[in-house]
Amino acid sequence: MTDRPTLTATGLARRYGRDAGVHVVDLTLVPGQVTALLGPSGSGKSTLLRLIAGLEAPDAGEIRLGETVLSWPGQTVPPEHRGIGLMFQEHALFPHKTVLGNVTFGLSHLPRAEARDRALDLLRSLRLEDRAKAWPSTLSGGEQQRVALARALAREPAVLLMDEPFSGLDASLRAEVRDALTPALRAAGAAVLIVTHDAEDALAMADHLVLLDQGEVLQAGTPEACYLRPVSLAAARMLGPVEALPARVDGDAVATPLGRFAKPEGEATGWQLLVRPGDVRLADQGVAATVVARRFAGNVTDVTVVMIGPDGEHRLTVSHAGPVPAIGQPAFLALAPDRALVVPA
Amino acid sequence: MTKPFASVRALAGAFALGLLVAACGQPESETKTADTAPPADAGVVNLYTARHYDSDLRLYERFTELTGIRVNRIEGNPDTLIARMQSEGEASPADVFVAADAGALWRVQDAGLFQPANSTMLQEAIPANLREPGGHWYGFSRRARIVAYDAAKVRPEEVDTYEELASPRFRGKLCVRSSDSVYNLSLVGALIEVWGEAKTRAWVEGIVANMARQPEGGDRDQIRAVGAGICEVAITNSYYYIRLASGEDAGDREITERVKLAFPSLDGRGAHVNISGGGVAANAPNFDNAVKLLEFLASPEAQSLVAEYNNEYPASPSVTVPAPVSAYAPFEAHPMSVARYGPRQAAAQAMMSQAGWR
Amino acid sequence: MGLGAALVAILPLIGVVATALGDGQADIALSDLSRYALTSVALSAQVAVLTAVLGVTAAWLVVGHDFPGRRWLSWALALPLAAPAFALAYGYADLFDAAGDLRIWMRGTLGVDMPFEMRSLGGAGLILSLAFYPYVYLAMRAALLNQSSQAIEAARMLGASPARAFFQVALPMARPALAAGVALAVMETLADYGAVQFLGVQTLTTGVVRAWFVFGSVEAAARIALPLLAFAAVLMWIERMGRSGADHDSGRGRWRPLTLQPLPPVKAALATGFCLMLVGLGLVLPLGWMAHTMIDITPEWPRLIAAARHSVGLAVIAALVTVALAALLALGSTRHPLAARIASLGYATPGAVMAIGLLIPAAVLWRLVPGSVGGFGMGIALLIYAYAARLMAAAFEPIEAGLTRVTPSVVQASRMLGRSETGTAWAIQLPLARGALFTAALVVFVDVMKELPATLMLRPFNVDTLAVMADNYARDERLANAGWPTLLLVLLALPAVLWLTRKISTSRPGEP
Repeated sequence: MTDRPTLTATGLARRYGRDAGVHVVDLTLVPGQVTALLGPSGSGKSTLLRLIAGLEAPDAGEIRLGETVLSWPGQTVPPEHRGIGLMFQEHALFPHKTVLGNVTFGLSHLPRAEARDRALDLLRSLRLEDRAKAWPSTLSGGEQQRVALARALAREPAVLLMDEPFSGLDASLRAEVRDALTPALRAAGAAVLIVTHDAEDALAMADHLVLLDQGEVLQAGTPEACYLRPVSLAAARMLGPVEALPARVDGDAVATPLGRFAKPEGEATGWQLLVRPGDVRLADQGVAATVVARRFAGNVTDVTVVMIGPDGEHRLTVSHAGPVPAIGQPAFLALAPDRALVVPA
Repeated sequence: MTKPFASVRALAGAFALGLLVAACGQPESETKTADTAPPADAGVVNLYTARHYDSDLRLYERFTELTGIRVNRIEGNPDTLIARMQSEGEASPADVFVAADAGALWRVQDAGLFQPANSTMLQEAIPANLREPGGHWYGFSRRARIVAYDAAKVRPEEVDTYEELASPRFRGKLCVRSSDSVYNLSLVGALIEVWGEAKTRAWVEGIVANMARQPEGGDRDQIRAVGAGICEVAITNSYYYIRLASGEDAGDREITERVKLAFPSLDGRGAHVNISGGGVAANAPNFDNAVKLLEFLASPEAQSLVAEYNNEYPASPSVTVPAPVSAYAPFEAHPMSVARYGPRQAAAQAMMSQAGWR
Repeated sequence: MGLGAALVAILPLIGVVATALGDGQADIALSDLSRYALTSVALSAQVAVLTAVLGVTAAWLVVGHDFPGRRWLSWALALPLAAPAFALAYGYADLFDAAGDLRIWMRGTLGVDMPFEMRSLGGAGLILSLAFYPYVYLAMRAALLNQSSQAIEAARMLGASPARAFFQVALPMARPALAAGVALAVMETLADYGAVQFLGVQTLTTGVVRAWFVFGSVEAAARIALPLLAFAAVLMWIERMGRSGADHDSGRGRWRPLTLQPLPPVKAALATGFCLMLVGLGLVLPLGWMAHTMIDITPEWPRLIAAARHSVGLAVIAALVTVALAALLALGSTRHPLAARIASLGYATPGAVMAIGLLIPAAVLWRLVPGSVGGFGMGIALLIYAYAARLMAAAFEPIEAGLTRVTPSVVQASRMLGRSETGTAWAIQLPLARGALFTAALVVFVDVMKELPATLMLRPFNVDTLAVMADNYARDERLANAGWPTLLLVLLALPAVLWLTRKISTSRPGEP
């Protein structure tokens, strides 16, 4: 369990997949670590998953598992010989086999009794032992999902791929299932890749986060780094609502409607300030603005304000906990320097 | 949705559509005779026929030419037609029923679906043994059920009686079609009539023992099987052989140079003969026209046409036999009344099935 | 209304049962009867196995693999549907006749003979399988296309080879479709009249015919027919079960077609060869041989053209009427599900049996409307009725499928907007299901073109169809003459079959 190999994909490209293509992507999946691949639909994340699974061959680049080359241009080791597990979005349980039959399907190389014992162990660890004889169609969404996981883990894959594992679950169940699953995944010791379009899932589960858009990696790193230090507006938007304000270079700093902030390293043709709704506070003093709309949202109130700057009007929405001025009243905005996200425009 | 009338409406719609087709489909039977300037419209005659030969159509056209009576025709299996006439009951439009087997005609009579047509012309034209004594039906053409043999392997005198076909001489060397064939049923029926049950049963068993293969195909196939060396003798109707011998297919003509026709004799009185014939339907709406059609079919012209078109023998000895049938005409026909076969057919079928004749 | 349509369809079956209760004897030995029954079972079993193997292989090749000609073969494989089974029987029996040129040449030059006869149980099984494998092929093809690739990919990810993934996952999941396709093929086998009779294979239908024709007892014939009806009912049930089972795993979730597996050159050539062989044996070879033998014959064009007009005219009207009745049945099927099941029995009823049953409603009609027997319109109406009763199921299936795709809320919206149930059917359901109605009409059209026993029994004066003409020539042992009407029949049915198969080959789940 300890010496599992690392999966590395280098320069991977696939132009005419059935979904959006993938252009020159590098990816590393480390054993015992959960990597989340986050991207909107059409970003190429499903294609990337299918390339790693061996269901499609790349046009360029290669995939290695440890020292073994699994995929190279136009060729691929067939899925059954890769040692990679895949959990499908719809679980893809075999409707004509029982829960136990589904889990033992991948264990045909073992003696029947041994396969059965291993499957029952897995089911027990996922609290499914009483459903072993049930048909998949009688299971709840969460149960189906755990069976799919048990089935994929039964073969002790070096790499486990999960395609939108929580998309079929409703919101109330989702967090519960997710939090129960994460330790089981870590315990399995495999390199795990979760493909999702949900930022909350990705942030909550991932050790390592990869943001993919239009077939290209926008940013990769820890969830915190990606959230706190986005490299672009597009990368920031993937992890939550964000608004962009113009930033003008002024010596070592940039001037923005919310004040002056340090200019990051590097060169760019222009800069912009990214503001997440919770990062700006309504204060007693600061940048003057006028409240034009307010929307009560429970523990916070979303306040839309208009600022008049030298280069025109700017509209901004701020989530504020506490009392909020009435519409038409003035408000003062403050942004802490450590929350100021200045990125190339 | 569950209103009972709705489905009635739907059915009525179906019938209305049917009538629509009637309107566009009907005229064609009239156009056929238009150019031959027939006598004034003399009505119709409705024919149920179990004969299915193209040439018969030309015969009916000739009838219309002569009489102005239009012939409406349904072809079918004889017993399908019988069942249909029974279902139609008194409403049946059938005027004339025609079949190519005496047994089938007897079954129509047995079902009470014929009525006597006592025409002097018919009784004079058709020999007594080829018609039903009560005038229920008349035979218009004859076919002999005889033997085709491989001239290189079989001498003619080896097949000059029916008994010889069942003898060990031809063990595994005989081809014959299945016992479903009405021609076989009538043949065995005739044998029962002449020989009685016991001897006929032994004969049937001998035939089954002699079969070169399980019965398959029609008579033509049996003749071709002799030609191909699969068997040495085959039981066939005469016109199938004559058709092969005088047909367009060079390969078939070549076969008949090696395969010859023999006319075995039943008790020294001649070959078994079956008929094509017909009678007037019990509820015929056009009785007079029906008799006219029968009289036409019995006329020397029609008998000669049938012989020419379908290679059958005319029923009347006085009618000149046209070529190519004439080459096979000089044979002795058994004088038994053909009306005897029908009542024996069920017994014949049971006997043949028991013996394993498929 | 639905009930009325169902009654139309089952009246002949009631007729058979009623007839069977009457007096009447046929001196058919029990040993013969059991032999007929065994032959029927053996023939059905042969056809079931052979059509399953041929149809499944063809469907799996076409849906899951890439090879030269795959695209056009995927619809060409269904074309044998245009050829009636009796046409194949004529062609093969003649081509492989023991006394035919081919066999003589084989014996003389090659020194070997065919190991079996076409005019035998084995031959009939082969010929009927070649005629009916498209039923399995089409059902399996649809099922495999409907299957999301996820299941097979999941199996591959779990270490299964492509072969194991097919046999343990794809095939079992398509089992309902396989059962339905095989049931259709076996039903057609039981209903067959022309081919089996021509080949001289004695099935239970032979028993029915013998009891009726030789022993003159319709009642005894009906009694022999009863087990056939029961057999048909069981098959119908299997087929329905197949359909209901197919519902639960299709159409849910993200659907993705099966990935086409590229084949290495040798295997690709074998795949192309196999599909070509099926089309060749199911259509091209037997009909080509008939065309070859008929070339010396000058057909009687006026008769041939009149017969073609009758065939097409009857088929068109029957299609309209049957579709109308089947639509009524389908609209009412939620209310009377049993009616729909029973009405479908006619499809599996052997032709000769149907003929017995049809005589009873016919007799009622003949007596109710004096003079109607000779009437051309009434005769046609009766014949159309027979077609509708026999083919109700064939039209019902696609229409029901089309109607279930109409969302209930749309229907409810129409009712809330003040339309009656009938008005809603006209304004909403039927227009939305018009594709299905057209498909059903084409299915009926093709089947009526090929229909024989009911046409033989019930047609009015002077109405010969192409099938009847071909049958007449064949019974007169003039196969060369039978070629012309047979080939004309296939040519006329072919466009409809082409349209059907092209439509089936382009349709995807979720599309109407």
